[in-house]
Amino acid sequence: MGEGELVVATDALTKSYGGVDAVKALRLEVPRHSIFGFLGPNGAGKTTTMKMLLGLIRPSGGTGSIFGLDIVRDSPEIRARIGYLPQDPRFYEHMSARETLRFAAGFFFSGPAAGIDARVERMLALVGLEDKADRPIKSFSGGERQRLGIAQAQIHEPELLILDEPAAALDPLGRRDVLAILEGFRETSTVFYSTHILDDVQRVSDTVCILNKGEIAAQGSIGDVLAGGDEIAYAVEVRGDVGRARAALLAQAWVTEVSVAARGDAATLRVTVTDPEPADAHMQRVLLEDESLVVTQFRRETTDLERIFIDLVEGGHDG
Amino acid sequence: MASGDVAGLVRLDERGWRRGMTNLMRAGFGAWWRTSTWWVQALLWTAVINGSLAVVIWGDAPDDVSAFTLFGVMTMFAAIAVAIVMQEAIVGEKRSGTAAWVLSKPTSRTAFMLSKLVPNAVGALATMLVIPSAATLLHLAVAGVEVSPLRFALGVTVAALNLLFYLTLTLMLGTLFNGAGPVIAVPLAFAFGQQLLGPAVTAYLPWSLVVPVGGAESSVIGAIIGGEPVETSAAIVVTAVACVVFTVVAFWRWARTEL
Repeated sequence: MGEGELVVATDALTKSYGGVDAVKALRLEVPRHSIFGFLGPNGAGKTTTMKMLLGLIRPSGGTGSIFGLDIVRDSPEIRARIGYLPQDPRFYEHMSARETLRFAAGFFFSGPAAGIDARVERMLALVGLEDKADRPIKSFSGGERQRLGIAQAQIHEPELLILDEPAAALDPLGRRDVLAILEGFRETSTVFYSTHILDDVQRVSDTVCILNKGEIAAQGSIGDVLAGGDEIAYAVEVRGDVGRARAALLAQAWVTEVSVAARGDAATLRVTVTDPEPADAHMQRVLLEDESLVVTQFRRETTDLERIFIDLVEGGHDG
Repeated sequence: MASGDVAGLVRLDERGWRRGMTNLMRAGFGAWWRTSTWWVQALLWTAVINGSLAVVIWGDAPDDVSAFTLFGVMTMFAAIAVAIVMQEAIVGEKRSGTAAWVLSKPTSRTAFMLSKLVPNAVGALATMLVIPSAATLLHLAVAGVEVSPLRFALGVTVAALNLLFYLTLTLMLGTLFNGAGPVIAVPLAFAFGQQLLGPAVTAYLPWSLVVPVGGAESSVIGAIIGGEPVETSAAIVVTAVACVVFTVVAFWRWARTEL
């Protein structure tokens, strides 16, 4: 499989429970060596989709392939090349972290114990659990379980990592560390991870899919998805007669909408425009022609994933 | 894909239903034998069975037949305890997510189920029956009770069948239900409810292996150890067939379970 090829591809993948579609006709495309952020609100169908890819649940319809292999027929072969971190990772409580990693390694390798142990040590170091390696897992915090989960998923250096909310249970420092680990996997693996932490996606993902009520609301590179939110808007803070300011702006051909959030004698205008060039060149001038108005702040709004996400999830993509 | 970067490691090449079996079996046996479970269970059941027998053997009116029958009754408690120990094996793993985690690895569902059945059967039989029974044989010898080691071994084999009945029943229920309630309640209700069905029916059920029914002096186990005629041997066949049916249903159901 070469660069640019798809590691995961699904076609009309569907899962229904009692006649209700939890996942509807999903057409996922995960490019090789991407860090693919799988976004969606709770209950959107992210975990169900991941479990179908892993062969833990059977699709009700459609098809899916990973590495070109069928997710139903070839599931064991696929799982030999995948690492998986469950949403709330639970391991055998009578085992320590070291024993858990040995157990996980035992599904992939045979050979001298020293060889397995060396690999286990490397994974413990990767996630910073060396000093807790021999503690019983039942004493682990949520964050430590999450780290152990990442280590066991990576124990065989898989071609694809499927991580279900890898940073959800972590504090900000833990999240930062996990994101750094994910970025480190980019060279050797493809990372398919679900999350609802949009900042994380914008920081590390190069490709995203937004899932809402079991359907894809948007999918593509981060740049494409952000560009998909093609509204150009400016935030302008003014003092003075806000009504006259609004009227002056609406008189411009390149202004489509002006909304006002007033605070005493000041207000913030949100001005949406068709073209940023005349807006950059003339907007402040139009306002300052009225000598009663003072412009205290003027900036173009940057489109971020959060706005796109909210627009997509709340804005009618709920079919 | 990188194949182990450490000298000597090779990628496993197991295929089909045996995929992942070695690793799962190692973990399954380890849960019994590399933890305190084995000696705690062995100690507990050795004390329970032999403590009860001591009352009969060392009492004012020692009675061999009563001792053999009591031995059978006490093994029934071990069999019921298996249901309690085993109820977590499938349901607990389904609920905690460890089953989904393990099955996300390259392993077959058959291997997973075998790793629950075989290590637990071996562990339970060894620690809850064989070790305590060996102590019982020694106990009987010290007390001067004459017993044929061969007949005693046959009696223990029937007790093992009774234990396997509850083990496979619990395993099957674990695949059928998602809550621990029915998985523990059904074996307990069956264990103690059999006697209410009347001797004509009970004679065919596992109950008659361990408790005398229908006016018989001995249970099947007591009769075998005591060298008496076995009056309700059909129960042995019924119990064995039930074990097979429970096991087949458990494997069939597990193959279709969504996690």
